[in-house]
Amino acid sequence: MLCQNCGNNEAEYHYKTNINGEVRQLHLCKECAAKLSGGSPLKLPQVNFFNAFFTDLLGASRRNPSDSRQCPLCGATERSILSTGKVGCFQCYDTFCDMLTPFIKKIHGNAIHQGKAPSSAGPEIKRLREIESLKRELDSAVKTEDFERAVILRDKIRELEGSEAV
Amino acid sequence: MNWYEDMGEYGDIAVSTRVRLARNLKAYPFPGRMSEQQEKELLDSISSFLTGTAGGSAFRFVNISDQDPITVGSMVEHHLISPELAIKRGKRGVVLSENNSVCIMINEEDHLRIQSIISGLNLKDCMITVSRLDDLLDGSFHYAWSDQLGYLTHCPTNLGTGLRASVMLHLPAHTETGDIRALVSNLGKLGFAVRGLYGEGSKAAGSLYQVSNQMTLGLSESETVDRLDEVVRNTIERERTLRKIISEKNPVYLEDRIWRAYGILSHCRRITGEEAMNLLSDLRTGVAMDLLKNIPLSELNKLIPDIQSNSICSTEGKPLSEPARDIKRAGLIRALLKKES
Repeated sequence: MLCQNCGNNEAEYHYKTNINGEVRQLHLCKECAAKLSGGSPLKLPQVNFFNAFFTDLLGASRRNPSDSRQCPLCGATERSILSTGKVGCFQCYDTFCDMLTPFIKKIHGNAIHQGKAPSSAGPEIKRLREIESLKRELDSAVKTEDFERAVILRDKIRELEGSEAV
Repeated sequence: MNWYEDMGEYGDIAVSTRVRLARNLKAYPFPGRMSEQQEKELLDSISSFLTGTAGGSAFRFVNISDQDPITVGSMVEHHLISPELAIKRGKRGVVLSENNSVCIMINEEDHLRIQSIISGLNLKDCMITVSRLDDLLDGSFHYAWSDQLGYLTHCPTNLGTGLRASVMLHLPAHTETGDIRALVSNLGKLGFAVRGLYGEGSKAAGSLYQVSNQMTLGLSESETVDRLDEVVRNTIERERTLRKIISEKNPVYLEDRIWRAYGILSHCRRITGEEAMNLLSDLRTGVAMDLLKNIPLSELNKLIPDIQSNSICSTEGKPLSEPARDIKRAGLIRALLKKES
């Protein structure tokens, strides 16, 4: 995980505050942790710092978050997301996509989801997930020298790869 | 059987394994923005679904809002609910399996936190359990999901798999030698967090540490679990090596410390939580290294949550002052050691 402040180094210090049930997390590299907590990275950064941090993280243009843009589904605003570090509903990820994308990239890099998908996901996602899962099973079958099963799995993977949506 | 009652694989060092999935339903805003009515609706629909025929009558529901603070505190100490669920306001609850090894928290930071806890190092079984429950719920409820971001969560740090896997390790040799600092730093670089007994912000009482994954987006569930499994196995090997070095370098020091711990714990008449945790850590080391016989590790695992403040009051059925808790705590420990000697 990259440092959420500089975005260059690996985060080595992990902070979390819980104030009246509002949980906020912060992951920093050694340098940023020392700089932002007054010289001692083991000291918990001030709560005010978290507000400043979220504002910085979401870009200089967001220093004065507005209440004018609202999520049509839950009513969350830029301000409410900045003050809590949390979105209001699934729709917020679309509504505030421009504001949240840099934040998500700082936490997770350019990664896109890998792994399990719910039954409501599209057929193409399901096909890709099944191929991934079968490939893992194939690796394991080869490792345990279960070649009979490996051949069946290989054919299944080929069949699924051939059925790519056009 | 409860999670702490079976030693499990690598039980000399790995106390327990926990896996949780964060899930949200598309039908409601995330918990921070739900109305009281919506909180109630979600609580009722999930709890009745799981305690009804879908869950095979294997589950029971506990409405946290109806419980007294001591019971809630004791549930946190037994890892049945998170500290967040305990202190949160509003309608919230937990669905528990018969043996408490599976818990589904409702209206925590996310709508659902599906958790499995097993003794020892057993990530695979934990993962299978939560995944089955996830499939069961997925069959009847529509999850909030995005092709790119995966399972959508209240806090963007949990996006993707929504998976947090953690193993609680007993690392007295790492603590003694100071190697724990390097471990925290090295695992941090690899994307793993090392925390105290009760999660983030808690102290590492009794040399107990939780190692968990930080990354949730871009790694599949199996990759996450396999990576954690590898670093945990390496840490266990290192802890065994460090214990051996300490023992060979100065066997009398180690034996003396373990027997002193046994002496105090088996005779004390009052003991604070902190002293008890530290001495039980020494005792656990003695049992794991076969220096002390006839004390099952499973009994020591069970004792850890039982001697915490709220659990003592919960057993007594009433709030107790700190000195009174210290006396009860000493009694619980003496009773165990007497029974096993």
